[in-house]
Amino acid sequence: MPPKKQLDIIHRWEGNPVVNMEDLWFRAADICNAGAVKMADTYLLLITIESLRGHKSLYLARSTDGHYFEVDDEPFIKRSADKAFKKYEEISVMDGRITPFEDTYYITYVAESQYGFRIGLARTDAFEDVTRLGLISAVDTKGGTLFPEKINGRYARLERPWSGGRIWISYSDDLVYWGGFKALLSPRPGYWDAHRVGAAVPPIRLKDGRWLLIYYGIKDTSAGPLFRIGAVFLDPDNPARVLTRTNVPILSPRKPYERIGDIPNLIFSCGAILEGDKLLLYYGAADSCICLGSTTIDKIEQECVKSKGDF
Amino acid sequence: MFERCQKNPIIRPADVRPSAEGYRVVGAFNPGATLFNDEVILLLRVAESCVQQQGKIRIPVYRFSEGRGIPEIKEFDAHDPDVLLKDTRGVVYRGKDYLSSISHLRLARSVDGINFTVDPTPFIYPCSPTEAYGTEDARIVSIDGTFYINYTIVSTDSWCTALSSTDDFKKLKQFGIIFHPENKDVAIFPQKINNKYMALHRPNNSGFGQASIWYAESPDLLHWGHHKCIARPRRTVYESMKIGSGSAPIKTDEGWLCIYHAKGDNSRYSLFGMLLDLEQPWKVIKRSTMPLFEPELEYETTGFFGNVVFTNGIVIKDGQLFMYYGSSDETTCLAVSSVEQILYGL
Amino acid sequence: MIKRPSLGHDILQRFEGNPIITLEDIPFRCNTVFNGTVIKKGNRYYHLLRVEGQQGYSVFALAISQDGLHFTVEDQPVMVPARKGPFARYETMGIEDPRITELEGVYYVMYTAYSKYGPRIALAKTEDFYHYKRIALVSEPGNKDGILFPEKINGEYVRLDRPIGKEIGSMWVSYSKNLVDWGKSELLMTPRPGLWDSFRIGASVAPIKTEHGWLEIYHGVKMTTAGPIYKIGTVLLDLEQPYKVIARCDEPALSPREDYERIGDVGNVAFACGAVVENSGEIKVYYGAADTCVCVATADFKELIAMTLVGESS
Repeated sequence: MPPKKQLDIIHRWEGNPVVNMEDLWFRAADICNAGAVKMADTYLLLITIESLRGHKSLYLARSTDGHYFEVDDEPFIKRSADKAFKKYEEISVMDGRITPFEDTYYITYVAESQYGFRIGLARTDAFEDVTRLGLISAVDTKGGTLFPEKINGRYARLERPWSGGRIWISYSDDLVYWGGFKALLSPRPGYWDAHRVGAAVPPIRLKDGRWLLIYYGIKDTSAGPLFRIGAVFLDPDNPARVLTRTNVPILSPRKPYERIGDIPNLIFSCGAILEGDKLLLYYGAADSCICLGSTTIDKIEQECVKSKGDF
Repeated sequence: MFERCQKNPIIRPADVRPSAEGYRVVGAFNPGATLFNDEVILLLRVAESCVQQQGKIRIPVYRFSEGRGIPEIKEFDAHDPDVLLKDTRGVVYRGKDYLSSISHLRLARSVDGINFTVDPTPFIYPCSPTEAYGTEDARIVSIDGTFYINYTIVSTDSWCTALSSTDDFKKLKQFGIIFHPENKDVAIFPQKINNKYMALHRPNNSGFGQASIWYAESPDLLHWGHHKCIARPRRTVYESMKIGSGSAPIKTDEGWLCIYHAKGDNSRYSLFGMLLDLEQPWKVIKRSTMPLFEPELEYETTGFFGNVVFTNGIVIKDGQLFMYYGSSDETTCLAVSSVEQILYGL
Repeated sequence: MIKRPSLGHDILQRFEGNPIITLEDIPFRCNTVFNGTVIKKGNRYYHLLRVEGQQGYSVFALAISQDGLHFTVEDQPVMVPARKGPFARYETMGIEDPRITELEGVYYVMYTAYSKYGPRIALAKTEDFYHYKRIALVSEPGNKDGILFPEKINGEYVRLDRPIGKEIGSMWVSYSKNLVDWGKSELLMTPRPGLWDSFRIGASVAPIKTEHGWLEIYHGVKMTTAGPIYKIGTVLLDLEQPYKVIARCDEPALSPREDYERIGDVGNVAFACGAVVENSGEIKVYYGAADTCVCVATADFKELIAMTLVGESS
């Protein structure tokens, strides 16, 4: 028999999942996904966990090596009791994405209520306490994330309005009022990202100046959606301009922990850490655990953007 | 409460010249309205389809080049099995949607507010792929001498709201999208409060119940924030599907008066009144429980899409409230009342 | 071949070495491999596989075996979507689900050409399984699961296909004088409300001639709240009048039960595309599992026919 082959460009950590139900000191229904950042020598995950009753909250987990995490017992961001937020967060706060910005960290999250999904914005300096800044969108939008620096003097964000299944960009002077809306990335008929795309990881500035945006792409099958991860490289000065895009996914569901769970065949990332050329991608698998995969920027470019031939 | 104009409908499709050869005007309705130089200005939604030929289905489409929309005609064989006719509004060809009619915006002018002259050419015409399915339902608001016009733009991403301005209804300045999909029925307040512009808007609440009226504010009319949901549809035969705001709110001593539309059972539209707090306009003080106005006469109950009355243009002229409204997605009509009467009716 | 009783005692017994071909057996990078059709020529088994690329559309690869169980996959795909010529615009989203039929000494492949216009049935032929010559697109959009009968009937070529009319997926029979122009289409059989094949059915394997009629292995789909379940069934068709059902199985011959059939890009799918009847009287049925790998199951051919015969007749 010929040898078995592994030609995917992502290397899954042998100890996957990084965080699963057995790592929690409390009862919960589900572990969904995680934002990620490295603060000094500490790796931090902001994990969306669903309670047995059905509400989602964001929990911090810390690690010194990026592999073994301690999950907090109490949520870092939970549904707000504050009047300005309560009405719009009554079901869940989830999908936390961490954007390092100068000396501070911004966290974008999805607020869910009977009104729909809105993008929430919060800030923390050292992940000890957190300040909510506001709900910065109306409803009908998800997958909000902030660029880690100003673009031509303005803050910039990405999001996925419900209709059209595309990623949009918009800008703000003050993080409160947003405008200049423009569609940035669309689904591609016939491709693995044929039906919907959305920003996964907050955009990362590469050494050569370009922006790396890791996104999720969805293909609907008769048995439900397949969630995969791809990437685009954006113009250094004008991130609304796409330079190149991966023809093939960086990561597709294959392992049992990615295929079996509350939402099967789901890979959903909200955070990655770039160490030199090495990309550590933290991703939620099947809405049931958090996993780690690693690859390099070079591999993404060589194997996925410049993929040869017909397939 | 409202007195319908005897001359209704005051503008019909036949009064409007098509924007291209081979096009046919099928609707001149849902006008934005304002006063300018002693005239009432309406910005009509002009819906056009194509002159049909036997055995063919002809659909209006735009080709976009250098920031302009060029009207063209797409032709299908009527017997092509790939052509699927939807209701009166569209055709699906091999999975792609085409609208049987597309709208642009056209000015009409009148001294008495009743007899209008319609411009021979469009004022706001679709000019990019984000407007491939047309521009619709303009609202005009005058703030500090400038007329701001917001309107719905439609594309494969469905609908969202764009903003333009003009000082003279000749030259137009375009600012692009101010509310991303799906969002329409945007009504901008005619003045700032606490140095902020304010607007009502209508996201679609996709997957989360019925579409509702929201409030937002802005430092510059281009960037919007502080979104709040202020009115949800009630479970009545009138509002069971959705509600959305109409023209710019009208300032009265008792509060901001808004006339909004409600879509109810059997897709029937009617108009309701709502009063918002003067200082904190995200607070609803009063809301009528019964419609102020509903489709009754034949031109309101039959037409391109029957049983629709829809207003997005109101002016106060000689102490009277002139409410221009679209009937059955086809014609423009007028009903007259006064602010006092409406406030009393709430 | 060592067999163990299958889960649920399906009449088709799974090979214990299943899945026989997975992603890890493919020498080039791709997403999944499934739905392969098999021809035995001499002592060699030629297995034409559907391989879905990472971009999201499918190509065909070739695997070869001496025993029908252990296959080696060739280094490069043997057939990819046309990029030029009349087929190109109908294959932009890939080529899918090949079925080989040996007819008058020629190997014909009917496959699904996929594009934004919808699926169409296409026909190609090969002599060596490495090179394929496209003949024609033989259906309008909205039709797939086309399979050629291995001989002419009453002087005409015959095929099974599956047009989607009014959202009902039924099996039809069509005829041709020249393999290019097809017509005289007739309804063969429909989904059966309440049964395991209540939602959709389609031909799976080239019909096999037996004394009782043409044995056709087909797929039946039942829709559940968690999605569809694809199972393998059998039907016997009249030898002279192939639009007549002689007998149709009541029970499926194989249902998804093993993990490799339940878990994958499209879970709960067992979808046959090829079969080989051995001189020993055993039938090997090759099927794609969960749109993610290729498996084989076997039965005594006579038993499979007997099980079909006890089913309902037309």
